[in-house]
Amino acid sequence: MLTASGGAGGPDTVRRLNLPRPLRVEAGDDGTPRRVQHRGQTARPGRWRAVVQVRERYRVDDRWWTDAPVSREYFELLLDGGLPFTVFHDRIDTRWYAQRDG
Amino acid sequence: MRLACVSVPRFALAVEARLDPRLLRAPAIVYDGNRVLEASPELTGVHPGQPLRQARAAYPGAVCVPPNLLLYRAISGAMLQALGQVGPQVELAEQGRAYVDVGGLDADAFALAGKTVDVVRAATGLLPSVGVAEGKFVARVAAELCPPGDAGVVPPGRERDFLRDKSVSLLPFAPETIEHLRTLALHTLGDIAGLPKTAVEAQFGGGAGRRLWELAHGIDREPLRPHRPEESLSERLTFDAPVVADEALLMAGRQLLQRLAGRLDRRAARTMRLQVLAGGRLLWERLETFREPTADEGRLAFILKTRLSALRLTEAVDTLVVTLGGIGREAARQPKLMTEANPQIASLADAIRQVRARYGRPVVWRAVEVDPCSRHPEERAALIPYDA
Repeated sequence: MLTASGGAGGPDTVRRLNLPRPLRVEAGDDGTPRRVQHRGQTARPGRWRAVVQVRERYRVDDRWWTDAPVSREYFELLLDGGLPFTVFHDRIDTRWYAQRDG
Repeated sequence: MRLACVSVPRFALAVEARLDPRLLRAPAIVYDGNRVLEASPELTGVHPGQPLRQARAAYPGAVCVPPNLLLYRAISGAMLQALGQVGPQVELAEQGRAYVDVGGLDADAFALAGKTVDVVRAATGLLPSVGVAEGKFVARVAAELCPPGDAGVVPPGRERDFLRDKSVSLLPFAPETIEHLRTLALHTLGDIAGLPKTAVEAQFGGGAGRRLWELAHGIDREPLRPHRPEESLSERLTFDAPVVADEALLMAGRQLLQRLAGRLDRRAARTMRLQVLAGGRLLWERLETFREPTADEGRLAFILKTRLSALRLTEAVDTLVVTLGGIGREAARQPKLMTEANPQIASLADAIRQVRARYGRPVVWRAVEVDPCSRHPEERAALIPYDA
């Protein structure tokens, strides 16, 4: 059983890497991110950064036969300043998340 | 910065209409997966990103066509190349829309716009509209308001006048923001420009508010990001008969990598693009950008295997294409922090055990692979206590 990183797990807890982190995204009419609120590794709200290029856009639909289906639309972005950044739109809870592609 | 915005309205539909002329006469929808990508203007209420099911229900007679993404990319590339004849600095902002730096070009703006239309039409067969103005936003609005083949020129210093009566829906903001503006009775860009900057910032936040206010005044600080061609190597393998097995793709991928490794000639690649096609149509594509340039065939093969293993084929495919991009010298390599050969490992492990005993909990962790082929990044690796 895996638990989330950063949690108050027990002494020998296994921490998952690359867990999705909620973030704010401003998307265009076609659902493509235009700006993201990038906060780096800090907990403070970050500054908004413009999306320079959408390198990839793809869907991941999985476990639709279970009680915990996964339906995500991933965007591999290049942010202002040349920073590669991956976000996805969770099509179930309709929120945006940042995620490193481990 | 004086720019020309070159825009092919409803690019995907325009390309599809070249292949299937009945799309010129009938209302049509280009869809990607189960979402609308583009729709004919007469299909009011249908917008990009909308579920295709909804659009079909509203317009049962509309012709629905899947996208030809490879062709869109090829035509955008041809457009980019053709625009090099207009000015040396060209940015492809998205498929069907590009910006050219025309500042300092010794030519009348309308003559320049006419030349731009001609070179794009000759290279792609598509008729763009052109807007010439200071900054990307005003140039884009000028282009979007022109019919195809025509040009709009905004003289320097007249940006605010030009934008005054234009709809807020032209702003590059999310539909929620546009709706928010309308609820505040801000329907034109002139309405926003007439407000104090601080009022707009107070309503929409420092960043978004400032940008809204500046765009309404015709101020767009977003720089041109010129396209810089980079060398790439590509290999393609077409199967004798369509395949549905992942293993066949994997073997083909390895074969293509071997060929590419032979062509690298002691150089390194920064990206790897994998494309799976059926009947010339792009079914799946993935671009990997490496943390550092690599020429290591083993590493490339591992990434290829990981990505292709995650692919779930839903139909038979006939072609695999592997492209290595950003070809250049291998600049630097990040060594591993700890290697098995390091004689200090044992004493380090001992120190870690002592620190753990001191604090009563693990303080040093190491990453292990859990399910490296998982489709969900959070399931591929985990941290466990270093001495577990």
